[in-house]
Amino acid sequence: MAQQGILRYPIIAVNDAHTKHLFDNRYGTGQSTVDGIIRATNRLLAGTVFVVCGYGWCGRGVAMRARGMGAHVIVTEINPLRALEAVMDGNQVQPLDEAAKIADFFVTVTGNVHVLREEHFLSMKDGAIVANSGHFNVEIDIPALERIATGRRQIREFVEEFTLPGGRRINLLADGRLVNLAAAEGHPSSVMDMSFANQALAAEYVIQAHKTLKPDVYAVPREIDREIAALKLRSLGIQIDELTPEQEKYLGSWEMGT
Amino acid sequence: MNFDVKDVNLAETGKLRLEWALQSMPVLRSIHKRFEEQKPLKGRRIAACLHVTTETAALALTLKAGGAEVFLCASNPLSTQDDVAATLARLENVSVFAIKGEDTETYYRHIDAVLDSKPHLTSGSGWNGGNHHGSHPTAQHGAARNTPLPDHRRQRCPY
Repeated sequence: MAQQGILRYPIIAVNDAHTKHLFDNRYGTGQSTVDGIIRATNRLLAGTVFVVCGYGWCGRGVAMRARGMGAHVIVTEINPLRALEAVMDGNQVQPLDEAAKIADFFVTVTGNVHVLREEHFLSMKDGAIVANSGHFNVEIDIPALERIATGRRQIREFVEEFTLPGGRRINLLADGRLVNLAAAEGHPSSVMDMSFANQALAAEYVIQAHKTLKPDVYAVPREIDREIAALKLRSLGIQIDELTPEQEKYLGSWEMGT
Repeated sequence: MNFDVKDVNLAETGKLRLEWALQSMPVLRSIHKRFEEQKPLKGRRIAACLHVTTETAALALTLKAGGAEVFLCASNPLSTQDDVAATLARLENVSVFAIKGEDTETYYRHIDAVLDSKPHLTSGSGWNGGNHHGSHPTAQHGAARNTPLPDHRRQRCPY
């Protein structure tokens, strides 16, 4: 919108603050998504095949926590760098077409539409569990699932069972909406502490600086990001080191190399 | 003060859950304390479209402590915690428009109700559909956005 000149006021992209996306998106989404799936299904994750669609910060968090619960995690990606990172983090990486045939759980965390589609539903195992923890209820093509299903029923709270031709069943959690917020309580407070500290301080910043800000997208000022990290560390009773004058000087110089 | 929540009688339950959440939010608590003393948001109207949870309630109260008038709607029709919505509306004077499981029409009516406050600042996860922002040339000073902006993200993401 900024590029098209239709943005009418400045925007602070709080998500881009390090104290937001490195923590909220990764540890918050990681824990709360697994929490939502467990509360909705009461299924054991250990030993299952768990597909994570998308390896952004949210996907990294979900994959990390699902692995921690003993699941065999398959990551699907469209970006070679992220796919490579997923592999080296210890995940299996496969096209979704193949993963769809063998997985017990599917979680979409891509921020895109129709990631899980008709062709995937048609190849899933009986009893596959499908959930979204990305953007709205569009990551799973629910209209397609409804279209191909021969029957559907609410088998327990937050779990709707769709029966496909031939009798296989697919369980959709929380209507495909954010499973961590619908079936659990969203991100734990401790991580939202940092996200909302960013919101509060960004609000203060915009109100102080609005006369000089143009209708554009701005990052959270680096000092605010650092201040939040420092406050969080202090609240945890954790202290860190400081650079020695010699180290400061070394970092500021260009004469010495490796 | 206008609000639309499921049941104001849930306010006490929400209050306890909010207190529990605040125990894990020391950074926001320290900002709350400073805002209370300095009132940096005095006289400003802030419209927030966020998941209406205990943590969001903690943010709303922090903004209020800073002197702002706070209007809140849900960024997702299923994520609202009705008890804490009641706490904000009944006990904390925050104009909340959010009911868990609200239909699409109510959901957008609630977003409109919040934008009708003619906010100086918006805070939130995208206001679900640019149309809504478009029809309300509202935020007078700016916005603080909590979820990735797709275009922006594509541009700056090192991958």
